[in-house]
Amino acid sequence: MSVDATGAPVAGGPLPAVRGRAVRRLLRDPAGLAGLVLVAGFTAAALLAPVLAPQDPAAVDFEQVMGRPAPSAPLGTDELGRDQLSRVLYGLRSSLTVAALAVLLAVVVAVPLGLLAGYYRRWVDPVVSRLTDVLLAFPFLVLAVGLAAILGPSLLNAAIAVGVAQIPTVIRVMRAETLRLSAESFVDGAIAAGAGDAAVLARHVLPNAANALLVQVTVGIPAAVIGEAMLSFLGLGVQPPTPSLGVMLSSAQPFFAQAPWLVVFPGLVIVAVTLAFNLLGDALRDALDPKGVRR
Amino acid sequence: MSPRATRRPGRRRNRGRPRAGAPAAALAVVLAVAAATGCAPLVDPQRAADEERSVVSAPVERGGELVIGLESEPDVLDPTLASTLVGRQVFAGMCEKLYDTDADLEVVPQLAAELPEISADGLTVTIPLREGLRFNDGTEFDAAAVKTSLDRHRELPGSVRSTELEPVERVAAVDARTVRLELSRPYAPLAAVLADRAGMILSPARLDELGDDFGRDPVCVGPFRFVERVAQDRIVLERSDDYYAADEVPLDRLVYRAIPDDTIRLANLRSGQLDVMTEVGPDDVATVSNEDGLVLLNQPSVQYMGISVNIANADGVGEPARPAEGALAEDARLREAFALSLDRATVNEVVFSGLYQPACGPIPPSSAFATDSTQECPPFDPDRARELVAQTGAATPVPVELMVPNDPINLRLGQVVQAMAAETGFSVRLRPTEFASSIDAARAGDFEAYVSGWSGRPDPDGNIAQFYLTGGAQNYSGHSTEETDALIRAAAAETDPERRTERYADLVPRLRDFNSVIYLYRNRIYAAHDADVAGVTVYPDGIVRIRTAGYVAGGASRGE
Amino acid sequence: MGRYLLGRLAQSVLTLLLVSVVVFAGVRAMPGDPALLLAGDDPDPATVAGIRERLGLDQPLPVQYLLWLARMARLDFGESVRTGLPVADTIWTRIPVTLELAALSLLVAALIGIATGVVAAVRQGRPADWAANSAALLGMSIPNFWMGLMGVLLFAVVLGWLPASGFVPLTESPAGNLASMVMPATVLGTGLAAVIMRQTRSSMIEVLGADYVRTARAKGMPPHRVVLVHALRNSLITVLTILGLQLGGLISGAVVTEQIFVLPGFGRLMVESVFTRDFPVIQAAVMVTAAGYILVNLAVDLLYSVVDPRIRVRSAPSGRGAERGAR
Repeated sequence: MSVDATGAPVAGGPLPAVRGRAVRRLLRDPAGLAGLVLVAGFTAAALLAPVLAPQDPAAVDFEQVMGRPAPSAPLGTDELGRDQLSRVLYGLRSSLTVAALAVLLAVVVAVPLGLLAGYYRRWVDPVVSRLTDVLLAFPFLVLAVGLAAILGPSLLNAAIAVGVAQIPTVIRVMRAETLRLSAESFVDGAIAAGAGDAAVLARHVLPNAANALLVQVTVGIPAAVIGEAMLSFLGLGVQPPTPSLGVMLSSAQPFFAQAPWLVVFPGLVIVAVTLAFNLLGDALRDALDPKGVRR
Repeated sequence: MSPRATRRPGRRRNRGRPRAGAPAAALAVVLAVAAATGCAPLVDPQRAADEERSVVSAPVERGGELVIGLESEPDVLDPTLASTLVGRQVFAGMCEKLYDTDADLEVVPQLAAELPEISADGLTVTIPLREGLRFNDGTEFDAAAVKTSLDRHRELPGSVRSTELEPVERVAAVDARTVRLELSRPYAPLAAVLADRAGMILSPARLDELGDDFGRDPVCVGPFRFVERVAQDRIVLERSDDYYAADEVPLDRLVYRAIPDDTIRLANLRSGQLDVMTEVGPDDVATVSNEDGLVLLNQPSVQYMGISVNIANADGVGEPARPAEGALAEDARLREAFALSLDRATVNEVVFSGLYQPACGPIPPSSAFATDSTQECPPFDPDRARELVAQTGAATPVPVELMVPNDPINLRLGQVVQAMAAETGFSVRLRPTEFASSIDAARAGDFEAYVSGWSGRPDPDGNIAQFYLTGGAQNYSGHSTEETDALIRAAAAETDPERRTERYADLVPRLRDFNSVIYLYRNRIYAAHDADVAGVTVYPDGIVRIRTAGYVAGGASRGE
Repeated sequence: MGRYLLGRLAQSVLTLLLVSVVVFAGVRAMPGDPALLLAGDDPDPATVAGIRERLGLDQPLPVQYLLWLARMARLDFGESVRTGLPVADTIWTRIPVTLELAALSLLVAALIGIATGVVAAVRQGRPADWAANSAALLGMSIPNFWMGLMGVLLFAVVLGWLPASGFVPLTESPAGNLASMVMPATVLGTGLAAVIMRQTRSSMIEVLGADYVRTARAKGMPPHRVVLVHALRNSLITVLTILGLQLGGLISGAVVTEQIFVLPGFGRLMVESVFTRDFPVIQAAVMVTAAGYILVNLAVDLLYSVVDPRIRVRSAPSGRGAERGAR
């Protein structure tokens, strides 16, 4: 939604050299470095939530309902007296889990479809294009709400709903990449050398399309984090008592004038995570662009 | 569109707030209150709950328009097909019934001239009708019209009334002012049933004209007549000249608007967009009681929430009983332990700011059939609960899956129950489910325990039969014994009030011991209106009665 | 061009048909029976069966689907299961609110996005560019529903400048209407503004480096005129591109924005009707949205070739989207 969903196709070439240069360029770009560090930090925090959380995120305390931030609970306590800091950590964990699963699903489904559509222009392409058109004609949220209603609200189903919504974009990126690469001389060469279709796609097209895919994944994760939060906010995503950043916002909304800290902190974390991935995504795109021009 | 033109100008908006800023002011006050008192509510919840008020009386002037904010969009405005509680709010303005319930939940005549006369064997019920009444299209109200409507309620495919009128076998118009119902079995709740939508009589002329589409332009006997309904926006009624007591109806016009969010509905009331609102949420009661320009109406209700435990509903409601799986289904002691683990007072405190009431049985305390025995509450006793769990020898923690509708309030309730039960050795896994899906699952028997509620009926049978009878429509737990079936039927057939009271005093404790439904709390009804309005009346049935409402003559009243 | 248009139209109809199959099947795959919900207080099996019959839900699914399609072909969307009122009326009362919201937020997005984009391009590499880029990145990263909540907290609760929520119909009070729309439109427009800013910036940089612009400059055209003339045309293209690409996002955003600010719009209608299993309303709403989406994209593609003659309309299937977004 607020995320630019289309990754710019990135020109490929002889691989190892480009990648080595790209990594160096990424690390030299302060924004990219910051993005990388932040993404690593958030991932570590999510993985280590059980170690880092000062309290059990599910431990209610009816004496401490909606407590303000204090030394004992740095981010305050929620409407059932649970420690907000611990819940934010665990919430980050489920939000990133949903995002990772969603993007994984989109990649697994969309990459083969995009490859085939781009390679077999005659038969596969029209079918896949209609499929993408149909998926695109459903606004993300309507699609997700419908899927969540059909499958029942849960963490896994939220991931499926968010993932399905990302499929058409990934298909398009992969299709465009395949189209471009199919015209390249090294593909012609491989075909001339007698390589079968499967081998051409797997060994020559896919590896060279990986850069574009990587950028798309980096852009897809923050979109999925926001998607999860929206679904959970509408009550159709991750379900209490499991905390997720969206669930925390949703259950705090009725009290947000009485206890603003319940709305402010989970939201700030969403912004920070999304920002980190967007920084990294931008830097990656620039770094992988052989022209090396910051556009 | 100029509905506002007929409303009283000027006076009603001068509460010293800019109009556009009022919703903000609503939140700002809450914030200020929270800041000033460290979150302690200004109103002692217990006191607010105890100060019952069903109406503010003051002389009113004739004329004006009242805008009423409802908690959700009403369904079809056809008494035969309508099923929502919110729809009844609109019917209250335009469709009178053979009987009505009063402030004490007693049945009183409305379109009928007197209470029904029941034959000695309980199988023939005679209802005398009032004379000289007209429907709002001018058609005469008579026994033939009553027969037409009752037959439609009983027989129209898809009628939501057919179950409650099931014991009625035949309706006959004896003469123009007398209707006789022949029953298949004695049925004491009949008068109470006829005090709800099943007792609404529809204009036969309009039925001829519209048939199944009656709900598009309904005509009944009532103080107001239907003018228009704009989908998803408003329902407009106007005072009817055909109404038998049109002189006693002060207002010209009623406009109903659905505003689903409690806070927003209140904000609209404060800013003057609404004059009356139903369902003030528990979180907002303090705000309303502290505001000078608003009057809070407060009544006990007949609604309750509880947990249905699936005991023998493995194959679905209506199918022969088959024991369900799960610890609570298998051992009655575990059910008792689970019930003893729940501190209803704390539930009320944490989830409802202490404004509702703990409930332990199907009969509301306001009912004429309420006795010490029906109202008895098992104490919160975690020690005894732990003891019972230990006795069963079950491995702890005992797993329980609790299906919860996934709205914020029910989720909060579920998490509180989860935390309490954890203290006594239960490991509750919540299964948040969309409301629509949860009914499906409950009926299919696909659940272990289910948080569900009932809008309640004034007559006790309406709160018991379908939840406990073998094959009862909402008997999600699958509870079924020949003994209780017989006792429930006998109590419903008993037409002598005193003996009936005794029967319920005997029946309810027996039902409670099964713990097939673990009652949690009973809602209270909170409604609010502008202080320059009087006569808006709320009874424990939750219906807002507008017939005598109007603008206070000569200025704002203080609601005492 | 004519053949191209015909081909695109045929594709659109096919896509709509596929959408109708997906919606119909999806709606019926949801657990939760509308008849059961309608039976409400008293879900007696006989009653439920009667309701199903009245709603036509007892017919075989293919028959239901074909009947629905046949009615829809005559623009008859049937009646709401819940209110019994015509679905078309229900939808028409809601659409203007959402259209107003979408139009206002596009306006906000275009104003902010183009202005900052042009400034950033002209001052490329300077602090202004850096600030604009950072702001865009931040704008893209803030979920709009959270921004909505924060906006309410700041402007309504703390400062008291704007109403927290609620909708004032334009017919009742134009000023009140605008006041009730300021925050929702800004919230919904922010993410878009960021996207527009980035696109404007990159295409402006490209244009400023182009030969014909350099020629114009060399001929003595004042710099601000160069920027203005080329900025305007490019901005139009950018906004069009983004409208086509982000329409889906705009609708999703509208659903959540309407939820937060309690606007009686189309997006809320869709979500509410899913919750109440109002099959005819869900089906009609999705079909209208899909048709709107397809039409807007078609129109954008056509306009695109009009606004910028250098770009020929492509005849490849799904010739919009990724390629164009990557300019």
